[in-house]
Amino acid sequence: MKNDILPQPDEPNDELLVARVVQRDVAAFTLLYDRYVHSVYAMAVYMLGAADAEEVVQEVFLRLWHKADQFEAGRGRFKSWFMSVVRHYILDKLRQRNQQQEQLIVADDIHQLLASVKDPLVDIEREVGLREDSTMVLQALQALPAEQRRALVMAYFGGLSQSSIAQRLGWPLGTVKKRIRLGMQKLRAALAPQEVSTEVKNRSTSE
Amino acid sequence: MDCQKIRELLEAYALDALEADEWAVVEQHLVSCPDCQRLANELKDVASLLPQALAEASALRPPAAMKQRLLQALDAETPADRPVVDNKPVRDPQPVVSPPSPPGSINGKSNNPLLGRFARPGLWGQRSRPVSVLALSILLIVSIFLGARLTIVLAKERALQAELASLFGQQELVLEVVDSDQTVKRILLAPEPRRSQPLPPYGKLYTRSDLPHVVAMVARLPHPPEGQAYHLWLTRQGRLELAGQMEVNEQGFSLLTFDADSDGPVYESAQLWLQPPGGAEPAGELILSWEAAE
Repeated sequence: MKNDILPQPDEPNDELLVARVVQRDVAAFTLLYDRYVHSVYAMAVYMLGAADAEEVVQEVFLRLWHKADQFEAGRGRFKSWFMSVVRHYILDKLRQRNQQQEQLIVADDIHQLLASVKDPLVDIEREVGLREDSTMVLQALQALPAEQRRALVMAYFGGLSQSSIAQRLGWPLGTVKKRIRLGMQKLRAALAPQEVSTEVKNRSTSE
Repeated sequence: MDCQKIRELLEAYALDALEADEWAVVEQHLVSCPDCQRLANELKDVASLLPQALAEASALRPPAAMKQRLLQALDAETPADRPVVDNKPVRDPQPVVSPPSPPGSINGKSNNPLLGRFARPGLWGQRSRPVSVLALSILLIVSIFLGARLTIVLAKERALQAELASLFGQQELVLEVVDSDQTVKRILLAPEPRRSQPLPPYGKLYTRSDLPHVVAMVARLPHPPEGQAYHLWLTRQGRLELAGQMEVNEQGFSLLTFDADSDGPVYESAQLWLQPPGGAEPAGELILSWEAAE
């Protein structure tokens, strides 16, 4: 909107915020923090334990503050880039600790949690932080057959390759590949309308 | 390798579950194939939502104090933003005065262990007494300066949080009006010279072209003096009408919702006045205004 000259437009998109973080804008940084801290914190607690979670949160957000200029807007969304940075950071720590045993336990815990939740907890803070598409993705995940969900969780949160998953779970490699493909395709299909509306919203606010 | 073969690998690629050799093949292909690259990005976007699903499913809440600690660490370890702690004068041209700090603010951080963690080694070491005193005074000034900056950032943020919290506290009507592709938004600004002050008040007026609902929000306003209230006046088709009084909360935020007598009301102006209740027209002090361009 053309008369949108305030320093705080309603909901600036991540890419705009990260550009401002590069210019040392602390307010933009805190907005990104609010958007992502739930995800980062939950990952840190589930993958490394509550005792180390705060240190991990501090470290990855300090990295964001210092290395925001490494994000290249033309190569994808901020969310993908940042969550990938966070995931690699946490997985590296996890791998330093132990062999794949711990990665398996982590992935099992997460899989059980995702499978067991019936009603996502929604409150104001969550609405503010996670509103966009998280409920959709949780519902879509829960709608997957358990084996497909398990394969995705093993890969993403356990940091295991397809052949490692096959070996650990005693599934044929072809079955693992099929489950990962189908699971991801279903998630993508479930999220598609949501993604489109987000695009529209981002476009209309940047006009 | 052709696109078809690559695409069979993209789901696992997005989840980072390929073997190293497969991964290298995919990366090489993506450099020269925008279509597969686009699909890969889409799948990566899907994968990047998994942590959000985990956060949503779990009852975990990040401790609130964690954020303050992060902001303190950030301030303390960003040399580019930090006045130099040295024997040279502080370079920042801004006058260094102690700002009034609201109760519970995080000023007076000189004892903060986090600042200590990032302090330069040797700062407290083998220095002569006058130098130590000088260093101490400068440190004190720096900590006041950092405290002031942090307070401003947190205040800005509280205002925004309050705005969002109030928003979501209301019925769905507000979201319906504010968050749609039919939304028309107008910004109310303070008249000069207040507008150029730090953190001036502002307001927003939302309408929808296909509904009668109207949502008005104002933020960063002080509590009105005794016997006065904020009044929102709107002009529509040349006719002036009082939309309502706006009661600000502790954060200086207020929300007003009402229905116009037809869908898609189009306003020519919106003004917020501070005046005694019961007036038939705007009076007192003009606080915020917006006017449609000719």
